[in-house]
Amino acid sequence: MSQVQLFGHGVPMAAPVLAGLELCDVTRRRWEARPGSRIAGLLEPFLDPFVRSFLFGLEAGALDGAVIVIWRQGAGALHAYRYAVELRRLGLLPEGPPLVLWNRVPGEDGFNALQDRALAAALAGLPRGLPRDWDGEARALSDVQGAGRLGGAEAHRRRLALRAGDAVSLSAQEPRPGPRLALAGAPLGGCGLHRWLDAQGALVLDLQAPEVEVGDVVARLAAGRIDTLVWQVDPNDDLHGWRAPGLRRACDGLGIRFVDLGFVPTWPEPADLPKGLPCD
Amino acid sequence: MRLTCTEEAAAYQRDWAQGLRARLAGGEAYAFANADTPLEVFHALGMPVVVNQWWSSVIAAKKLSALHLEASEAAGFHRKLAKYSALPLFAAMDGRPEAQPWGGLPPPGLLVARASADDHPLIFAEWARLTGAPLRLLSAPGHPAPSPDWWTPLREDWEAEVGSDRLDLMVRQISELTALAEAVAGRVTPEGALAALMARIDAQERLFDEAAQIIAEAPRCPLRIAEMIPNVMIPQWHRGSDWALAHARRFRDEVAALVAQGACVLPDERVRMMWTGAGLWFDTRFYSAFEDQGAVFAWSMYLPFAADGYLRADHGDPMRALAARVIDLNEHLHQPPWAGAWHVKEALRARIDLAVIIVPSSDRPSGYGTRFIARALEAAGVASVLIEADMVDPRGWDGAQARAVVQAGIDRVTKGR
Repeated sequence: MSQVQLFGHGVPMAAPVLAGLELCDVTRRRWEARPGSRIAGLLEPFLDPFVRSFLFGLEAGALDGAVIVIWRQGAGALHAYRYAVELRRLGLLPEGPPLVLWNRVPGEDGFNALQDRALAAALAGLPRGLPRDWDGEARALSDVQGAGRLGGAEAHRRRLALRAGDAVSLSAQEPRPGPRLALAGAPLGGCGLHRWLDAQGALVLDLQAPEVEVGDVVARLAAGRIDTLVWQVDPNDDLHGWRAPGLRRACDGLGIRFVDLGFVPTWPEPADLPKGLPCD
Repeated sequence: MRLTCTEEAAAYQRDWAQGLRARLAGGEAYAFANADTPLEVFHALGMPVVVNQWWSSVIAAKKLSALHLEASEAAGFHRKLAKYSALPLFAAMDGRPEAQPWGGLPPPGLLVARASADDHPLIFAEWARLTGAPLRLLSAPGHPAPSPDWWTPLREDWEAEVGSDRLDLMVRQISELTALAEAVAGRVTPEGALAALMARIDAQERLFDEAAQIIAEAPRCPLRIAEMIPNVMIPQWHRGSDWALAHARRFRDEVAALVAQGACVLPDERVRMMWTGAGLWFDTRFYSAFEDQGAVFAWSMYLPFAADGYLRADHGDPMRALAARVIDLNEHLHQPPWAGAWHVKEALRARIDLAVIIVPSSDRPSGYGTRFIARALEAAGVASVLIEADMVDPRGWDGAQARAVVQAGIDRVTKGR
């Protein structure tokens, strides 16, 4: 395991305070409850799937780096921190690496500097090497995918590998035939939906990818010459769905077909998906 | 027995709503705010403010929620999205006066929410898109090391308990909110108004603290929670006003007199219950559904939280005290370790036998932490049951099933004696 485990959608791995550290973003990793789990009964059935997985990972002792940093701004992350700290306090989770809550607020430089200083203190003493260009590598992957030279499933797999700290190939594949697709909605842990889309066109824009910020969606859709946008949320979503009507309006304005798959599990299997993209 | 002040509170709110409509019709701007924001900014300025969750409860009580929730789903907002905090938005999207309480509200002059739940910024972004009103989002950085017994240090030594970095941030954001409110209202907050308001709020919450203690110590529960709630929440929405302070005093005095007379809801009170979580606004009769068995709801969060959630000594800096009040306001009620410890403290004070915990699966910030609360209560010797329900959506409500769950809890308590 890497020295620093990161949890929280959108955690900025390129932040200077993390530069040169051995990082692993575990947000989308999947851990299941082990038999006899002492914490499963305290987790609501509707708990965010990534928070649930993270807590089971802690119970399994699977996050054994030096520090676990929880990115407050990530959806559900504050509850991941609250639950983890409380479960440790109650003696229901094994002791493990210290948990550090990393607060940041957009536009509040003074506050953020204090938070970064506190985080730096928690990370003091850890060896640092040359900083990795996390954002640049992610952009390069997006460029290859955007050119239709990388399947959606493979791009998703490489993105998760990148954020796990692994070396990632930028090699291209044969051009993908079919309509140009975009995927949006709730974050996905598995590649099942991507594989399903790969069979129906070229998934050239993945708006649920870990590094994507949601602010410029319309511009990205237009630049990507998207034919169809595929939307999904996880079965207990109470967040991403707020964006669906607006995104549908944007698609209508751009002449893009909007396909709403509804509720799709975070780690989807073929049985969770329809036979093909629904027709209009 | 019904308190005189209960009707007075309801009448005041009716008059206030009518007066508000007249003020708004005259072109006065009002703020539309989430309940866990610093409403004091608007009160000190003399700017009307409508609280999102209060308006939501009114819509539900008027049996209008199903209409608006179904329309929202037809408009593409899926059924798992939060309802308590979004129902007023959906009603505003409908817009028809006949489908709104009291004919509805005009567009607000400004919007304010705190990012205490991940979805609140998105809900209020929709409000801003719908109305064109300026939106101020307050940040909600997490407490890095929450201690369970938060309520004691926060009354006086809140600087150390909250952390200066988060307080500095919140003070800055409240200052910016004040500036925005003043710009929208077209006037400035009178000198000393916030300090005077905070002092009156302090006095008001101490009265509620006394009332909560009187009720908790009474041999039998002297009044139903359906009567406690309006007597505390209507003044809370107007906190610090002369009326609110006077009403808190009237309520405290009437409760004290009631207890002195030996009045009680149930002469044969056998099981004392606490309603844990926000109200079941579309079916408040549920609170009295078990009285034929001697089981009474003796506690809801609203009265005791008026003290523990709001009393903050100002130490000569009212805005900083206000920041200390709001910075984890809603989180204290729902997140571990805070919520469990507080409910245990309150359950023991009120001699509770059974906690009934509402679990709204489609309002996850309120549904989260409920099992931790139940565990903490059980560990303290207080039985607990969880019932699945949404605060404002009657469509999935299974009253018979909920009654069966509570009944099983009552049976467990009585058989265990």
